[in-house]
Amino acid sequence: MADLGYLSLILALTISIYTIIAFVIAIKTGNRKLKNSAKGGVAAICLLVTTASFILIYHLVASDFSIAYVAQYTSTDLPLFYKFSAFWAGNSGSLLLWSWVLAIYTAIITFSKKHEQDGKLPYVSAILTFNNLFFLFVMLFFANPFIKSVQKFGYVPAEGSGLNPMLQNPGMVFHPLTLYLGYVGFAVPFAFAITALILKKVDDSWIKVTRRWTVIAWMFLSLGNLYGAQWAYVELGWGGFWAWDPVENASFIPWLTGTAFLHSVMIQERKDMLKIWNMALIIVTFLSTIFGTFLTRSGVLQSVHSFASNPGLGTVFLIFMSFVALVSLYLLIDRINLLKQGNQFESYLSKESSFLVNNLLLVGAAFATFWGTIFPLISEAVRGVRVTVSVPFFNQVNGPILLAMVFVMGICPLIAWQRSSLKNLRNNFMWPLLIAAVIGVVLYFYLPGRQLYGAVAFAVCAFVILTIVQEFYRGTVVRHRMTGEGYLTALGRLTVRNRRRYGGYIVHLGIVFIVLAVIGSYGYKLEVTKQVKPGETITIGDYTLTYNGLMEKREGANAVVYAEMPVVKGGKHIGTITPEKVFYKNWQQPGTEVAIRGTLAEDLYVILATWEWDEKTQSVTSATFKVNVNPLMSWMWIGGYLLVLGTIFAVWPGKGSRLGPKYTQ
Amino acid sequence: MLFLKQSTKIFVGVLIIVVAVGYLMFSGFSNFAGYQVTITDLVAGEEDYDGEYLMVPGKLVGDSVKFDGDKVQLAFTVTDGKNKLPVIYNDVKPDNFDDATEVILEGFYDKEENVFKAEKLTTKCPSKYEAGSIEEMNGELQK
Repeated sequence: MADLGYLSLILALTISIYTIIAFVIAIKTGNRKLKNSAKGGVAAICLLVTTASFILIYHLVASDFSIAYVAQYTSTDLPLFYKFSAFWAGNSGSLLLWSWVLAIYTAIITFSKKHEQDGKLPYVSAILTFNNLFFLFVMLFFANPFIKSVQKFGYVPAEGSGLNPMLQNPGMVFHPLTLYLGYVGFAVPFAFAITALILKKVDDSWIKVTRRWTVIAWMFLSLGNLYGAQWAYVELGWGGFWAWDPVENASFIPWLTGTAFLHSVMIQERKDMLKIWNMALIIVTFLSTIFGTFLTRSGVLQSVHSFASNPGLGTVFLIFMSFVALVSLYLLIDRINLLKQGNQFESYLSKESSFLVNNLLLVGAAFATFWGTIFPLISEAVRGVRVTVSVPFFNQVNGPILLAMVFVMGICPLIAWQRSSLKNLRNNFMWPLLIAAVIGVVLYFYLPGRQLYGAVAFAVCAFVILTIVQEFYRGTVVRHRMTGEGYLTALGRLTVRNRRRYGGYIVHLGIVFIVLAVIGSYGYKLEVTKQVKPGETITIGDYTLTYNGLMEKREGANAVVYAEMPVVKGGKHIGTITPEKVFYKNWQQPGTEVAIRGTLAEDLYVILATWEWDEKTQSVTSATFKVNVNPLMSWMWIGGYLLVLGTIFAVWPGKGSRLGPKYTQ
Repeated sequence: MLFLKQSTKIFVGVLIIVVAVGYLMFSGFSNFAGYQVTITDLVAGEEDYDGEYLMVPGKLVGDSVKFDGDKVQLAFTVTDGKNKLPVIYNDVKPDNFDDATEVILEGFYDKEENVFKAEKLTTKCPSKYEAGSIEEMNGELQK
C-alpha cells in the first residue's frame, strides 16, 4: 500500500507538470480540447493526492510500523483520534496535508461554474497547480511520508514511539488543520491577483470573485492561531497563551496583512482606490504563509515549533519564495501605470482615510513583528553577532499599535464615505466616547495597581463595543419606525438583510473580546509560586488553596500524581481543584496537567510543579505549586466563537450578502 | 492645517503613523535587544557582557539540576562541550527539562560570581516533534 501512496505522489507530480504546460499552451493557442485536458489534470492531481493521504491515514490507523512515519508518531495504544491526527504531527505528513488541501481548493476553483466563461481560469489553475508542484517536489525529494522503516532505521520496530503527550490534546489536533486551511486559502486570492496582473485586467473583479475565499481563509487562520493559543494555555503550563516565538509570529504576520487586505479591498470595491496597495498586500500575505512553513522546517531560528532541522529543505523553500517574490514584483512594477488609475483621497476625515489608517497600523505591526523575528539573522549577516529581541520587545511595540487599531475599529464603520462632517462625527461618537471615558476613569481607580495603560486599553474596548451596540440599536429603531415591525423582528431582518455589514460587526465584537482577555491577562495577572507542606495554604487574590498531600492513581497505561486542593474564595468554599503530573508509559518526561477553574471574570490556574521526596521515610515531604489568576481569559475563547459566527453570517450566500451600490458622485 | 491641500493632510497623517511605528520599533530595539552568544564566548571570551541581555544555548549537564523549594530556585549547569556555565533560575522546572538535551537561556551573566541569572528558559528536545532513532526510542521504552 505504501508503494501505492508513493506512486500516487510521483504521478501527481508528473501530471502537475503536464497540467501547467497544457494550460499555458491552451492559453496561447485557444485550444479548448487541451484546456479541458488540463482541467482533467487538476482533477487527477486532486484524486491522486487524496489517495496518498488516505493511504497514509490507513497505515496510521492500522499501526503499520513498516512505514517509518507511522513508527515515529504513533503507537498501538494511542487512541484512534490521535492515530488519525498524527497525520500532521510530523514534517512530511504536514506537507502532505498542505498539498492535499491545495489540491482540493484548486479543483473547486477549476470546476466552479462561476469561472467557466471567464478567461482567467486557465491562469489561476496553472498558478495554483504550480504551487502544488512545489509541495509535491519537496515531499518526493526531501520529506517522503511513505519511506519504509527498513530504509530509515534498518529494521521494522515492533512498537512505534508514540505521539508526544503534549500533542495529545484536541487543541493540537485542530490547530495545524485550521492553520493550514487558512494558509492555503490565501493562495486562491493570490492566484487571481497574479492573473489580473498578467492579463492587465486590474479592475476589482478579482477581488469580488475571491472575497469569500479570503474571508474564509482569514477565519481559519484566526481559528488556527486561537487553537494554538488555547493549546499553549492548557497544555504547556506556563500560564500564558502567546510567547512571540518565531513560528507564532510567522502565523501572526499573514493574519495581520490578511486582515489589512480584507479591509482595503473594500475601498477598491467601493471607490476604485488603493489598487497597488491591494496587490502588494495579497502578494506579501501569500509569501508570508510560505515564510511560516519555511521557518518551521529550515531550523534557521531557534524555536519550540521547529521540526528537526533540514537545511536542504530550507534552501528549497527559500528558492521558491524568492522566485514567487521576484515574479510578483516584476509583474507589479510592469503594470504599475494601469494600477495607478483611479480615484484619489478627498478628505482626511472619511471612511477611506480611516481604512488607510487601519491598514497602516496592521501592516506596521506585521512589519515590526517580521523585523523582530528575523533580526537575529540580519544582525548576524551584517555584524557577525546574533542579536535577538525577546517578548518585551514585541509587547511594547505591538501593544500600542494594536490598541490604536482597535480604536480605529470603532471609528471606521461609522464614519461617512468621501467626506465626513463634524456633525456626523458628533452624532456618531459623542456618547460612546463619553461613556468609554467614564468607564476608563472608574477602572483606573477601581482596579489594582492604578495602571494608566490598562485603564486606557479597557476604555478603548468599551468605546468600540458601544459604537457597535449603537449601530445595532439605531438600525433597529429606524427599521421599526419605517416598517412598523416589532423590535426583535426589525433587528433580525435588519441583520439578515445586511449580512456583510452586521457579520462584520459581530467579528469586530469577537476581536474586542479577545483583546479584553489579552489586556486582562497581561496587565492584571496574579502569580504565586510556593512550596507547601500538608495542611499549609497558598493565598492568591481572594483565593485560598489548602494542600493536603499528594495522591497517586493509574489512568490506563499512565501513572498520575495529583493533589486535591479545597478552594476558598472570600470565606466561601467553592470546590476543589486538582492539578496533576502524568507519567507516561512510553514517553520519558512527565507532563503537567494544568487545573483551571474558569469563570467569566477570571481563571484560577494551578500547576503542580514538583515535590520533595524523603528517602528515609519514603514519603513526599512538600510540594511546589505555581498558581495564577488570569483575569478575563474566557473572553478569548468566547471572542473566537463570535468571530467564527460573524464570519459565517457575513459570507452566507443569497440575498442580503451583497454589497451596497458603488459610491459614485 | 486648514489651508493645506487634502492630499498633503493625508500625507502628513500617513507620515505621523509611520514615524510613530518607527519610533516604537527603534526604542524597542534599544531597550530589549540582546546578544546570542556561546558559553565559551561568555566564560573565556574577552568581551564584557555585563548588564547585557543575553541568549545562550547549551547542553544540560545531566545530574547538576537542583531545586530549592523554599526559595523557588532552580540551579543547574550547562555546557557547550568546551566550557561549563552555572545557572540559576528563579522559577520551577519546565516540563521536559530533565532529559532535554538542549536548553536556551535568556537573562544576564554575572562575571564576578560566574553565574548566569536566567529569566527565561526554553527547552529544545530533539524528540519533541521529530522522533530520534528507533534504538534510542526503544532504549527509552525499557527505562
